Amino acid sequence: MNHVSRDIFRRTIRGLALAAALAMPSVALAQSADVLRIANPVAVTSLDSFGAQSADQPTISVMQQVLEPLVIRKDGQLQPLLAASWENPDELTWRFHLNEGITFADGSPLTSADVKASLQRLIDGKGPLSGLWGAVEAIETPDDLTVDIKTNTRLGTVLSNLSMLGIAPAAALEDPNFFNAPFGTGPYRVAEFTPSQFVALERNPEYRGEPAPTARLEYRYIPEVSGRITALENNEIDVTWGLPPDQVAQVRDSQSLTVESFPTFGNYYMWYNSSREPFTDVRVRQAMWHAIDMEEIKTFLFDGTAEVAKGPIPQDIFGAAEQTPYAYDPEKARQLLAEAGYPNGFTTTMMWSSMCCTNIREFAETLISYWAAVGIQVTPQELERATWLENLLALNWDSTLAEGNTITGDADFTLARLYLSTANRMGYANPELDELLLAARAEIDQDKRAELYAEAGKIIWDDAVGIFPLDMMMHAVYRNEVTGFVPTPTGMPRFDTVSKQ
Amino acid sequence: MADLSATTTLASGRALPLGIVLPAIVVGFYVLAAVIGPILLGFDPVATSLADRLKPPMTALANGSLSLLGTDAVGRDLLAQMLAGARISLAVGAATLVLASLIGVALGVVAGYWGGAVDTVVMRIADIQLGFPSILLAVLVAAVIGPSLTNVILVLAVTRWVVFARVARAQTLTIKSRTFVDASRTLGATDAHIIINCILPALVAPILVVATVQFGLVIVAEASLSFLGLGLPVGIPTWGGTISAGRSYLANAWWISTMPGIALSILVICVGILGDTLRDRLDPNLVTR
Repeated sequence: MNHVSRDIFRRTIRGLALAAALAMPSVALAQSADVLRIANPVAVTSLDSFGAQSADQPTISVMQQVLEPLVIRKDGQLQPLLAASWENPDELTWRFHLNEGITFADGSPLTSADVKASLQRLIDGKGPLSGLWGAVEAIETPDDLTVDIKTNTRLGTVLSNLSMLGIAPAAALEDPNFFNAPFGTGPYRVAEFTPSQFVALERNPEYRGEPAPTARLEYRYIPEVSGRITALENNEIDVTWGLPPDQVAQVRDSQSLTVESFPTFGNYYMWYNSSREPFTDVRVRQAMWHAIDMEEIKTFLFDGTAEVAKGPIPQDIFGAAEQTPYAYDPEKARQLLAEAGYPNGFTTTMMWSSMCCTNIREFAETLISYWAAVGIQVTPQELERATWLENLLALNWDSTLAEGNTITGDADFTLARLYLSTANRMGYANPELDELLLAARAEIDQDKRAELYAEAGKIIWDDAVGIFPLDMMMHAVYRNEVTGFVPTPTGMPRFDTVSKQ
Repeated sequence: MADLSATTTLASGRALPLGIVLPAIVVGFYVLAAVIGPILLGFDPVATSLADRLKPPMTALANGSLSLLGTDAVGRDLLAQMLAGARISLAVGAATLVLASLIGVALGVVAGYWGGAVDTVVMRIADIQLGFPSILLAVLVAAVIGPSLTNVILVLAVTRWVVFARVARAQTLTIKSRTFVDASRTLGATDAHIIINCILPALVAPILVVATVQFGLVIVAEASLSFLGLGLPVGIPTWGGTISAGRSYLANAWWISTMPGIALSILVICVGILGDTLRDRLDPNLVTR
């Protein structure tokens, strides 16, 4: 044995030690029942819920307990929260009356100026949610408790859009350091924040409602699924979510843990680039859908913890409607391909962002295997997220697989944001669909709006703009001593009702 | 790589020590498995079988065949995947070393033979590169140029040429001042003649030793790149890729990561021992000590 092999050994050992160090969460030893230790599956990079992260699940899942919206979606219905009531004085105006006597965590009262500043900041922030407010012409504050949102066209989505806007104090919004420890009118305020690693929330002393049962919430980012499960079993954390189905089965057997699985607003989708051959032909798009056995994928790959999709958006979303399913029928797929002029199939690619979604590589490989059976050769392209996003927005792809989440719970967020021909996200352009989506957005009567989305959904589904395979369920796991957990279909769990015995 | 041919030509009358024979047999077995394995047990990355997913070793599959090492998360046989992966990993290792040694030896000989400014420039570049951890450099380059087989070989060759250049330069420096080289030069031999006939032959043994030592490191580096998702594209089986894919199944399907991990470890250890023993036998400094 001389120094060369010792060197290899040393390197190997060092590598292993490094790998172990990276995999191990840094866990504080707080054991008190007053602290709920939460492991979030995706890093919280910023607490600014008005800018680039305004649609980012990790950011919102923390901030929804700090900043409150005017209206909130509960059990599928929009209900007043900070606003007491609202009306439409004319078709282009939404008037909101705020509740009296609400104060922020610093003791200052909530006024219409705060609502105006918050909405203005979201629009000016040019983040992913600012597009929802494109029709806003002016935000006016006739008095301290009244806000008028004036639009240049009728805007039917104001209420659901507002449910995504947490109100922050106007004065604090000008402070660049505010989002290091933001506060609002919610049950918690931020006590500590280290980007990508740690967020601590403590009770808001000024909160008007019943104080949250747990004094302190601590969010830690543990990237590896196995690391999170181990931490749960070793009583280093109390709760986590976002487990892949295969791990859920394992956790279910555990004596000390409880698993809760519930449907969400999230679904898998596979888009064709309809501006590229051969996806310009609707028969090709439908053929690829008929080639896939969704039931089998659901049963084996997702262990029964997903639902075969019944429409382009999950059924619990406002505006969703049930569509005719595409049956698993390879013969029909081959026939459609032959009609379209591809009797021997064709070669194409499918890209996705690595680690983006549940079982994505396994899912993609399975889809590719089904397509190979009808003669379509699909080259997999697993890309790093930034590269994937760049290609996606530049329409530089043949097909892509991803998971979407209609976080507002309103069909407009997904259908009108992505499928309008002006959005040009997947090269599909259909004037009839555009008309429906714009009419729905402008419809103030919510029942009529839902009908229009149902029609739009039917076009997207029947024209196979993409394949909509599965609606995802979320799996939250917590230790048995945790009580009061309420499932949230947004896929962003709240902890202001949770306590530890 | 340096398996049977190396041991026989280097035997030079002495009995072959166990340190050469044993690892050489193991490495030879790997090469054999990589060459004929995929022919016997074909691996089709597209042939998934969901009903057979995550089956433990020694399970009978739906199509009646026996899965010796179990199946992965989409129901593909792990053994077939590892055999196909062995081919890729060994090919990447060999190609990288050929490329790296060609670049390294050329630059090292030029630097050592002519010295002066060329020497300074080449060796300082080498020193600077050695200052970076090679895997960091590989990750950086791989992230920029994207995943493909050629790119992985290029990236790894870029991180490895330095070692070859240093050995080649050092050897060239000693050889060029030896009397037989002086004699050739007195007789009017050109630089090219001296390099080809006097220096390069003397480089073969030390470079071969470096290559064996580096071989293990290159295979591990390729596995690391694939593990980080910067190696070969999805669909091309590699050991690193398989180990990485099995990471999230460690608790309920340990075999996915473990089997290729064991295979990789054994190969790297054997190649390392082989390189060590060869070094002991060939290094003139050690022999005369």
